Amino acid sequence: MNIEEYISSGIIEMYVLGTASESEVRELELLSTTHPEIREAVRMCEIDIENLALQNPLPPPGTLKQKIWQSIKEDNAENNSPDLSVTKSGDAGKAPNRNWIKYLSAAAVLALIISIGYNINYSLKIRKQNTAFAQLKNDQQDLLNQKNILAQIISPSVKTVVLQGVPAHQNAKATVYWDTTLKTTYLVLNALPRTEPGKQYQLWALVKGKPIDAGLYNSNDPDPIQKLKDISNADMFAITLEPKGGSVSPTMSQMYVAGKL
Amino acid sequence: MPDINYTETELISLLQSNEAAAYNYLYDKYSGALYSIIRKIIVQEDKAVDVLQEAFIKIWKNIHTYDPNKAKLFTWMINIAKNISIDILRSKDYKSEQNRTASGDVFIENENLSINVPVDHIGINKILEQLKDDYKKIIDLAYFKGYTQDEISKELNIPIGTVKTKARNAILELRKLLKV
Repeated sequence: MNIEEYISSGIIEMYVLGTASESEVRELELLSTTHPEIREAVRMCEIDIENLALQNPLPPPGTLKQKIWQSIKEDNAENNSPDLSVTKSGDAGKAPNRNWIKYLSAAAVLALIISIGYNINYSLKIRKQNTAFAQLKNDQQDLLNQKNILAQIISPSVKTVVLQGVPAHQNAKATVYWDTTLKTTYLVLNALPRTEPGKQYQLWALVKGKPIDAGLYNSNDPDPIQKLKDISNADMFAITLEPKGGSVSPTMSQMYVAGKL
Repeated sequence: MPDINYTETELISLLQSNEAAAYNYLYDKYSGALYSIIRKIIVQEDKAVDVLQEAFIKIWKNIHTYDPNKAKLFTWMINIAKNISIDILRSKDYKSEQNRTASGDVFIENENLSINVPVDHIGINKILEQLKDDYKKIIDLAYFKGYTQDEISKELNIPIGTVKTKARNAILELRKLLKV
């Protein structure tokens, strides 16, 4: 990937202005981790926008500062546990001994109810935490997988091939990371329409016009960078939309993107 | 403006402590910047004030989810404010209200002609005014109106690639103007 071209393309500015597509955002965030010059360009853009706003502020109404702080404090107060105080009420007619027992048992019942309440709350919290923990472990594994793949694609022997949209699909885009030494191939779909069930995107490597199957992209896989088939030789890559499971040879009318090395 | 100047990292730590001092600093430093952008999206003062309030509360409550590796603090804050603003702008209630009072989008386009533009709001226009028309338009559509690249390309009748390069040139031009 030509970093200078990427920076000059304006995609970073679009990202900071808030109009990059999801896949563009993912690509930029990935590239920022491996290319400090991109990260720097993003930061500079952010600083420009921030300075633009800081140099021309519009002061809001003077009472707002306190009003917002009040709101924040009230919010905090709501989330704290309420004060539990058993109110004492006079009960003139009854004998003092009986009152004392009555209040004690009322307090005991109350304490029991509160205790049960806290237990239910606590076990709900634990259950939530367990689910959250399991989700976290899943996410962690996903992240590790992506991290491993990232380590592969930043190798100097990896060629980045951007596949641009064909005339019928001008805005489509994908990127192939092909390790010329190890022959491994990784695919990112930067901008391709979601496939309907029963269809799949298939990557092809072309050698002197002859297509070789390079594997299928799994749209159910949460990882954006997917490892496909090893390819020993290629002068071009292309993606076609095929029936699920792929085809033996590409359906040329269903080509979406292509790119030369 | 506050006398002390915190670095971004210091400010983030301070904010995570949930102290009033952090709120004060944040509000004093950024409320004007945030409000000027909100007012560009939501022109009515009372609604814009509501947005600013909602934004500050959301920022305060969610500071623990802010990731400094992803974006600067200001970018994160302004996105919160813009999302709230754009939600309101696109909500059915707001739209029908605008139709009834016959203002809204037309108002924003002809801001300079309208008598309702607050005098102190001319501030942000000063820098933006110096930009070429098409640069101004791109920043307005992308940043203030939340248009997607596709929508901008259709609106300005230029290919998406050009939208991106124009945006880049606009920011570069802005950078020059801000340095002066």
